[in-house]
Amino acid sequence: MDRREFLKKSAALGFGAGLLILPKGLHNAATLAAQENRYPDLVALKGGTPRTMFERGMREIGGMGRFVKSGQTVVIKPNMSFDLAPEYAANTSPELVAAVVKQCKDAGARRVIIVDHSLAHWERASKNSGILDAAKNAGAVYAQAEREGYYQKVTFNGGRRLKETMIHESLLEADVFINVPVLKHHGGAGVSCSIKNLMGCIWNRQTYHSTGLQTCIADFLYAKKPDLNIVDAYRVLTRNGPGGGNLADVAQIGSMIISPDIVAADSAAFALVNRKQGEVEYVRIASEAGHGQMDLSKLNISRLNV
Amino acid sequence: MADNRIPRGRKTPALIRFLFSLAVLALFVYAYLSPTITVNGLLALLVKTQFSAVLYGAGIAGIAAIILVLTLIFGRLYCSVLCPLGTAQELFWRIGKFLRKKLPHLSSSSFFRKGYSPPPKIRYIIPLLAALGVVFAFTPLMIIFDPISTFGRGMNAARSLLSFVLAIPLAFILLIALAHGRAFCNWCPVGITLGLFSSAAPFGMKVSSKCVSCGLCEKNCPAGCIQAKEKRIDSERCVLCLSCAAVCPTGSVAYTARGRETVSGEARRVFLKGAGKLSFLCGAAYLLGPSIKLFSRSAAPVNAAGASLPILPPGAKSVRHFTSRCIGCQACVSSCPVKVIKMKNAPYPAMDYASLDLANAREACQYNCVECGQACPTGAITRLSVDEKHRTRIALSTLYFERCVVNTKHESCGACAEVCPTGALTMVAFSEPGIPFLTRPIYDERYCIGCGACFATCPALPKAFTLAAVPEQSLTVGSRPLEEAGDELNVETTDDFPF
Repeated sequence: MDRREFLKKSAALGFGAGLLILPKGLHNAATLAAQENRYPDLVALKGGTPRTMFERGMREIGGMGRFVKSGQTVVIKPNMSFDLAPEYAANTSPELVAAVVKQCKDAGARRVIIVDHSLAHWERASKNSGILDAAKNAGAVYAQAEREGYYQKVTFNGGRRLKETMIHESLLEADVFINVPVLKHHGGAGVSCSIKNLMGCIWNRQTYHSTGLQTCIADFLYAKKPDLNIVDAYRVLTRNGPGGGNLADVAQIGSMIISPDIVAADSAAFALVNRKQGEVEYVRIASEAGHGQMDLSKLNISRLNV
Repeated sequence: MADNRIPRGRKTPALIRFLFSLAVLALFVYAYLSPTITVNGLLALLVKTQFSAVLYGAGIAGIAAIILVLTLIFGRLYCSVLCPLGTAQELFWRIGKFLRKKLPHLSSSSFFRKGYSPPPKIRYIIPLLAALGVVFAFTPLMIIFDPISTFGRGMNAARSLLSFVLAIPLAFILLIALAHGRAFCNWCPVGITLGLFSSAAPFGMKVSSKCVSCGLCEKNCPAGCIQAKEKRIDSERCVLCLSCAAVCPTGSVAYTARGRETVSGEARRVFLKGAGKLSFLCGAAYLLGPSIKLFSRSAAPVNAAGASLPILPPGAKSVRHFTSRCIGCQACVSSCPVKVIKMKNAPYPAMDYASLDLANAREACQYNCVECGQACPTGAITRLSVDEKHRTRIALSTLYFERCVVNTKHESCGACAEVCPTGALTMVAFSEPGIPFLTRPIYDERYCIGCGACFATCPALPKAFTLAAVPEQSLTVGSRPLEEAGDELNVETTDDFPF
């Protein structure tokens, strides 16, 4: 075998091997797409506790394994912004956060990080919300977020007003980003839920307020979009939000929304509190920008009573 | 060297005592510097052991008497183990000794003192001022020299340029200590006061007849209170560090009952001298008091315009209440989780009271937090229940809607109402022809506690809020009642989904 022949044969062999492998790859992609279609776009639940609704909902949407692969780093963003106990509904239910952490761990996540740039003092808010202990016991790590040094400047295209912001470092190295907001009244933005919750990922919140709150909230999705949104609507703070602090303002509606589509998740959550589709400005802006589907009639929704 | 001649066991008491006081110092440093609020309990406990704290602390003044009685019998045990500033000086002195061993040319420097060094009599003016401060509840007089205040200021340094300036006394004292040991203790109001009591104590360091006046103890005394030739230890200034006993080659110095020969003749004379000094202090305090009182009245800007008043920590009541009890230990500054309590030269220039610097803070006085009152050892900041804290007004905010971004840019904001813990700020509908539906803040002074949250968070430039101290802290009516809430969400609890 001379040199030329060797090269020819090698090339032929390589091509042959490629032909053998290629259809398999195509086949895999096709099955993956089919599997994705098998799952609903959004799961809405009622009637259970935050943990039971979450567990039932995750089974419906394909299990945590669909989002978290073995060895990955997962960042969970709950709302633990206020120095208030869980029953005041200003923060995400600690029971829910713990359940999410546990499923991520069970799915093989190497590291599960919880992070929130809290409005109240981080130590008081993380402890009194009950989230710090619950998440740590479930195996998560708490990421400090109270100093500018924990954030990195990110510039991005597409935003109408927001072109750059300081994003928490943990999010920039995360393989999977899971958003676990609480649905509640918000004096400034109207209602707070999935998209608004992402405001706790950044350092310079004042910029949002001074350059257009609604637009900036929506613009952040160009920088980072969660892979999964789990909306805690078990207890809802109906007025004096986002802080509240009065149990009389809290209504227990015992619901949950789960969706990989953040706009759909907010749209559905806001329907639970009688806000009309598109009434909340930042959701409308996010939908127009193509970050997700606001029109619930176009979604494959799975409605479950637990 | 001398070490070879000294039996091993002789060093043990001095070593144990030094390690113990070092452990106390370490606890102080840890409690002052730890960034987490979980050690605030330890800080409060430690600061409460300090003499000036017990002297001023309402209800625990009895402990001051106990310390004095113990000093009267056993000498300055307090200075030996409980004072962090004393131990810190000793630590630096030992470092200085180590440096001299490594760099022998330092020893010839005139900076280093060797041996007996009696400080001038004028030092008695310092506890006199402190005594005046106690008698007339005017603490600035003692804060300048107070050991725990000096130490606390040093610990809280480096938070700002101003704080750094306030740490200079500690830095200076420790620099001196490198060469001169516990030199400050001779000028410390607490040390001098306790010295008056310890001068005739029946227990103390005693030199036996075995002494050969070799002078090693004199060289190794951090307080500079030993005259080797005369075989005398000045028990007024001795801080019971036991260093002399540790270095004595003949074992002739020990802590023991000082015995008949000293107590009967010598000590009686010393005791009478001490009593004389004490009565001099009390008499002078009585005579000078009224002028001090006048000074304090004129210095306290109680009736001044709100802007020139400091915003005091919640529970400090008023400038008068606060300055009559604050010993400047800075425990409140250390305990504040968001560090809005700062060391500040207010309200008296050159004095180091803590006050809230909310106008320059990123953060607000935290609604549910009562740490500063818990940490305060004297009740200068009274302890508030969380419920009282929720209603304690430390300042008043004013909203200028014309500067608000809702008004100037016609954009949603609500940052102020979001952080307002009492509902003094709420969002209500704001609609003007030609602009989209918005919510705007409205402010109700009745509910405002002046925590500064609105001011800290307002994105407008200039800010749509101002914040001014109140002359007297008072209780508000509480939070805004529910029926007054503005915008709200409607929820229906049905089994169906609305979509």
